[in-house]
Amino acid sequence: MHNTFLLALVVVVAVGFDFTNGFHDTANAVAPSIATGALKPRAAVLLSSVLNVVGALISLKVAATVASGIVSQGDIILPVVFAGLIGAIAWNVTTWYFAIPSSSSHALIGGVVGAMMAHAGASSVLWGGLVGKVLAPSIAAPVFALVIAALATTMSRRLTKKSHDATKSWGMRAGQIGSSSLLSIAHGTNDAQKTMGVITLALIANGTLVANASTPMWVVLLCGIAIGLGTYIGGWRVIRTMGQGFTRLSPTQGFASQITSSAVILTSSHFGMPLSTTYVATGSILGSGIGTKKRSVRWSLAGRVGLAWLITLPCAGACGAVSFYCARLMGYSLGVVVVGVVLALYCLFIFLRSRRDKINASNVNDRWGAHSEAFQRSTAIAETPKDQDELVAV
Amino acid sequence: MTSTVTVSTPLIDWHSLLQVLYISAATSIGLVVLFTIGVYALSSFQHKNTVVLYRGINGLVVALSSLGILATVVWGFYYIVHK
Repeated sequence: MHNTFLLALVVVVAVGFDFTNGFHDTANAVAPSIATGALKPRAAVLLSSVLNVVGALISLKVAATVASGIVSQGDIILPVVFAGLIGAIAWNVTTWYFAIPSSSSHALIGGVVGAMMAHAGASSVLWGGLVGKVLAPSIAAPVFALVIAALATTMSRRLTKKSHDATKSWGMRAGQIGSSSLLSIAHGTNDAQKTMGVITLALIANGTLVANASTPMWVVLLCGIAIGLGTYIGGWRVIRTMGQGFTRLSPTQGFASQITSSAVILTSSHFGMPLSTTYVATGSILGSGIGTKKRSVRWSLAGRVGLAWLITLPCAGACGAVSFYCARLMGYSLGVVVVGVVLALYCLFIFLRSRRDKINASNVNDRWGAHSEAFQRSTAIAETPKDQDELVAV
Repeated sequence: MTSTVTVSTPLIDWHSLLQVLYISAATSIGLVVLFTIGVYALSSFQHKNTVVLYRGINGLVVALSSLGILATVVWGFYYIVHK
């Protein structure tokens, strides 16, 4: 009975994490399409949410990696999975409030690793798997995406130099609808599966599944629907940063960046690499900015986001470890309920604070910095009339 | 006389990482260039002063690039789902 209650609680929290993963990462697939006007904001998130569910059903290789390659399955217990998820949700909600496109995947893996270290020590973490399967692809993939997107944007810009602006703009926007759809499917194939992997870990820890068992279909469907719903809610704050913050995206840049992100994520998913889709999408957008004639990118913003990336794993890990210690201190049954309530109150607090500076479908495309003069000054790039002409001509 | 050879698995799977780079680069740049050529041909196709023969060629390029993109995406998904 005790285990069934705890297992149910873990599944509920895991689905909650998947939901936050959806709304935090909506930006990855739709930000360029919304920024260039290829899709209306609401239509973009609806399309993306449906295709995320489709993507979640396509491949299960990433789920297998998360379930078996990060921590020792023999040492894991349900409160560890629970605490890991709490750490990941706390980090996701915090970075969403600050409109930082950080990695939900690293938050999840960091949370679980932190909680596992608190429970069974550092030896229970498969460091080889963590470095080889998580850290290395996560560092390499955004660099790949940046370089490829810069090349693709440059080639596309040069090839269409003499074509008519109206046709080019219309064509590239139409292409963006396709590339955005592809990217949403790619996101589903990689991100929804991380939560599937964690629920599979919980089922193994509870003895419901044997070690190295494959992910049950009800878990696949549940995670697909949760990430789809989260995506539909739309994390407008992060969409704004991705679409307007790093660079002023033209349809050509948007198309090149989305195709690049899709290719990198789908290829990585095929090899079972649980990389951060956020890092790849950010790398592609920065690359598409570098591919323009003026190479106009807000590097100060990119630097701040990079700093947040560096502290994601340790911060989520610390949250996971503290949650686990608190749950253990109060006795697991009471402890997990108390920790869960504290997280719910924190989420409510963040949500209420976010309403002071509300960003939604109606103002997501406002000029960057319109919401904060100080922020505008700290991240401004030259936006002379010449730059505007160049962006139209890209 | 027998000898034992110990094969250690590398911490980072460089082979897979490089494959991700090659496949992603080829697919992304290929698709973007193919689509851009299609858009350029469409732009010329719609131009009123273009000679009929060139309009026909441009129309063919638009159709071929669209088919090429569709075929790449469908093949990509087929490969991911079945292998």
